[in-house]
Amino acid sequence: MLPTPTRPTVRFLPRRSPRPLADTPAITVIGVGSDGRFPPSVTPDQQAALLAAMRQSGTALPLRAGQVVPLRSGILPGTTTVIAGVDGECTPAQARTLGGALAVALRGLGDGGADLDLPLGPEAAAECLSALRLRLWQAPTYATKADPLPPTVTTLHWRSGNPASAAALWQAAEAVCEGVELARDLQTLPANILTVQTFIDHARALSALGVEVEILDRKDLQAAGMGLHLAVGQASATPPALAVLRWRGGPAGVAPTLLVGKGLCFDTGGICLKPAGGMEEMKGDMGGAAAVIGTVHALARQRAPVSVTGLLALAENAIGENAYRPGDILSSHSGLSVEVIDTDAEGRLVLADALSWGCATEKPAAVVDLATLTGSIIVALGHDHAGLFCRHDRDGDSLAAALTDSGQRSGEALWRMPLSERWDEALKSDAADLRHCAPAARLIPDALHAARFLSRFVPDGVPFAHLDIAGPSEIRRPLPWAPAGATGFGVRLLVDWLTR
Amino acid sequence: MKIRFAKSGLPATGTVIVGVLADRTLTAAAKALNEAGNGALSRALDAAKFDGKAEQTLTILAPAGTTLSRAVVVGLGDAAKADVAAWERIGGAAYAAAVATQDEDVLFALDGIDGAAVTTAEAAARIGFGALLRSYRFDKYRSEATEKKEDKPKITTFTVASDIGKDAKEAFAPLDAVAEGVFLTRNLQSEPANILGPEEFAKECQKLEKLGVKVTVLGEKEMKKLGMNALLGVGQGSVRESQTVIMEWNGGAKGDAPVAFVGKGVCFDTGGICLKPAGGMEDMKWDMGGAGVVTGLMHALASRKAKANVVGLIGLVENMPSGNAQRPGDVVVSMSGQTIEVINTDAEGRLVLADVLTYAQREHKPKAIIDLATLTGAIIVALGGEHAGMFTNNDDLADKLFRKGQATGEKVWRMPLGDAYDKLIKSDIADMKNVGDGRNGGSITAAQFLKRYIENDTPWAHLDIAGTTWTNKDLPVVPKGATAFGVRLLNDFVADHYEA
Repeated sequence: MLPTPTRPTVRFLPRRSPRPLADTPAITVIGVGSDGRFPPSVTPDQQAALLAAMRQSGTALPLRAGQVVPLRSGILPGTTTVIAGVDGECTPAQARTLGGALAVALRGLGDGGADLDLPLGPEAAAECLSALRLRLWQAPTYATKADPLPPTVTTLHWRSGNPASAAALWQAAEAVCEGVELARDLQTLPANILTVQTFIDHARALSALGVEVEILDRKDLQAAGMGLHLAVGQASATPPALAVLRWRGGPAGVAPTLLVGKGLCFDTGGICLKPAGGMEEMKGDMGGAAAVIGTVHALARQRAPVSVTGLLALAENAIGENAYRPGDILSSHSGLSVEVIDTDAEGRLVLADALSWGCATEKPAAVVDLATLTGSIIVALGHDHAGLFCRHDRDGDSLAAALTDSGQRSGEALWRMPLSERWDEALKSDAADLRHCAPAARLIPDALHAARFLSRFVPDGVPFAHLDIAGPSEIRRPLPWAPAGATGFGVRLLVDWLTR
Repeated sequence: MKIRFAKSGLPATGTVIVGVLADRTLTAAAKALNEAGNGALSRALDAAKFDGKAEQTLTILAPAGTTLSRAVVVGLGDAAKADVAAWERIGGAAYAAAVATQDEDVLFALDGIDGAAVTTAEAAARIGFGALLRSYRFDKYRSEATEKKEDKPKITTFTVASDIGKDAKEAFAPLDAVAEGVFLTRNLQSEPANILGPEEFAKECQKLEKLGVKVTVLGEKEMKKLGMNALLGVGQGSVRESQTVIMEWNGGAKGDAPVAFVGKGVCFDTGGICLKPAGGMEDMKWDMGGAGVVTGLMHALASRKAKANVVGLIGLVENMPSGNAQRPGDVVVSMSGQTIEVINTDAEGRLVLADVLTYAQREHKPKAIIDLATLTGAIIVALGGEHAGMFTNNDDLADKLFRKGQATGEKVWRMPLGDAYDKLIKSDIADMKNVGDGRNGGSITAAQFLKRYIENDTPWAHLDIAGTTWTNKDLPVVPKGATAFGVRLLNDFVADHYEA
């Protein structure tokens, strides 16, 4: 269904393997430490020649960590030699910067193999390769006369002091890359192609990996009393659904972690219609669900020894003669009645029912939801952090700390925001138990209101985190491991958190 | 209103306030009142479903068996858990309930609090402080035509009676000084812009000289000489002269580097050429909120003779559109030498602060700098009115300010800084521009801008108080209107961390 781009294959080999390698790579990549040391696979003569070539190209040692210099020369095998600056102690962030820079340098250099000799340990190698691969990701295209993709390396021969261990770590990392790519592909697909129904097909595909897939269709949602979710989807020609993905890699009897993703395949805003400018971006309003399916995919591919239930709360917020209206009062799965104020604050409605259903059905040990929820969080944090909301108690604090740590390691940064009962006042309704947002006005802390609303649907005592990913799920400037566009934000973070 | 402290005992006439603890446990005074009326108080509590929750109040007119005009019952909550701020809120709530009285003297009978977390003297002092803070009114422009004399609050003396009147009085003395500072700040924030321009504000600052504060005022000529062109550019559209005021309080050891507090004082902000929309523009009279806080804080520190060296610096301007106003696209050379492209003339606060920050560091070599500013609308979208946004280059400072915020109820929430945000203020023609990516991460890019004016990694915190400087509803110790948010927080911060 999705256009299949080429992903480079990675092979690991001992650092001192003779050069040139059997399949005569087109490119050789050499890492030079901040101390100016070349790897031992480079002979003194070659080193002198490379230094001379560098001088000619106007660069001198030492290189900055992550700086890469392509040299068109035949000093080492292949048409091009790429010299890369590597810091002695390569942090995950530095490894990613390096991987991203290599991706940019390698793109277009030819579609043969590459021989890479970089002084990285197995963990840094996996991080560097992940960034390299993820930076090379390309959005699915439907252009019938697109320019051919620039030829890019097909095989990476990675020299390592410990090839077996590096290969094992890469295998796990590769599964995560697949998950990220799946999430990005889904985020990018237009809403006429990725409907609730086709999203369900993607969910069902995970059963091939050993994931138990259950779909609650409209009738099931009605039977379960999920009036919020149903209302949001009721105007669309494609009915709403809840996809349940169960990966049970953990010991039997251990409560699963519940991941809930907002899956608005398209969000017109409904009766509270959005302005036309930029509305096309709303095809990505399922970024939370994409992160959840990507995470479950990665865990299943890793055969990770953890138990997770992923919920994709799928719906299209359409406008139509059957659309829900401002002022409507809805009954939720939890039993709380909700007054609708702004039909464009629909994400919190589908999530509320999914959170409540998930807690009741799965009895989770902890709950994390991800959603491209509010514009307000982008005003607050821009695109460099997602907003993290946890209760301010011991469980909430330790969950927040663990997720923030995983965010640091994975490069998917979170920033904790306050989750306050104070906003109950803003969510007070004259006609129902609560309303889902405050009436539109200038300067409202809508992200905080939304977080408080969601927390009302998670029973006390269940550790709960809400990630508002509206900022980082779509970016305009590339990151080392992500070109501009959909990022699949959340997959790397969640896999790190769940498997650590 | 005067706050007095007296020995325990119920008065025969007038208005009395008695406390009821959680689970409706009567304090000694409440018991006495109940017995006088043969259980009438208990019946009233029953009838009103009064359970003693903190800050709950019930007014009883002409209580049975007494010659009192009224009794106000106030909930004290769980005394074992109540911190000083909780007692302040109780005092504020009690005052608000009692203010309808026609009596000039009101007595809060406080005794018999077993197992309280703070001493009775401290609790009494804090009740008085809370009542005093809540009693603030800015009514100088309301004539008899709209508010009759008999409708104005009558209370002139608020007495807290306990068995340790003298200790309470001692504990209250420094709080009284802080309240004076708070009131000064609220007055400054409340004054309309036609009354309080930069020069009038500077004159108010000069009144601090009688407390022993050294006050220096820089006019436009002096600032031009110093190269404070970023500040001057903001004020150039107004007929009123820009001012920088420096207030020095040297209560600490001679030669000890001071702590600097820097305040944004835009006496009125029209937005300039980038004119603001009319709706709500009247709020911009308090765009000098940060400067108001610094002035009130200096007043508080001086009048309680703080044993610390502190310097307060405020940049006072009026941002007006005119034939001579600064334009979008203008480039100014700041005092630091860094050049700024002015993209939006309504992002003027940071221009003012930049030069005052530079001046503060060059002239006073502070060991820490805290600036306060009603800087961005984005911080209101991010955090609402519960927390001010805190941006800092120093974790220790962050920790101290966060804790003090929790303790005083003037809460701050740390927000991120980082290179990714800093990149957003790159200019094509100058060292930086004065806005980033539109509103996205708008408070953060503003803070990144300020950070560029901090030299040598001086510990620095920026408090964006745009959401907390004004309240549209009564809060326990803050009546509707100007809050003076920051004075109590920073007074305690100085007391705990900079006074020997």
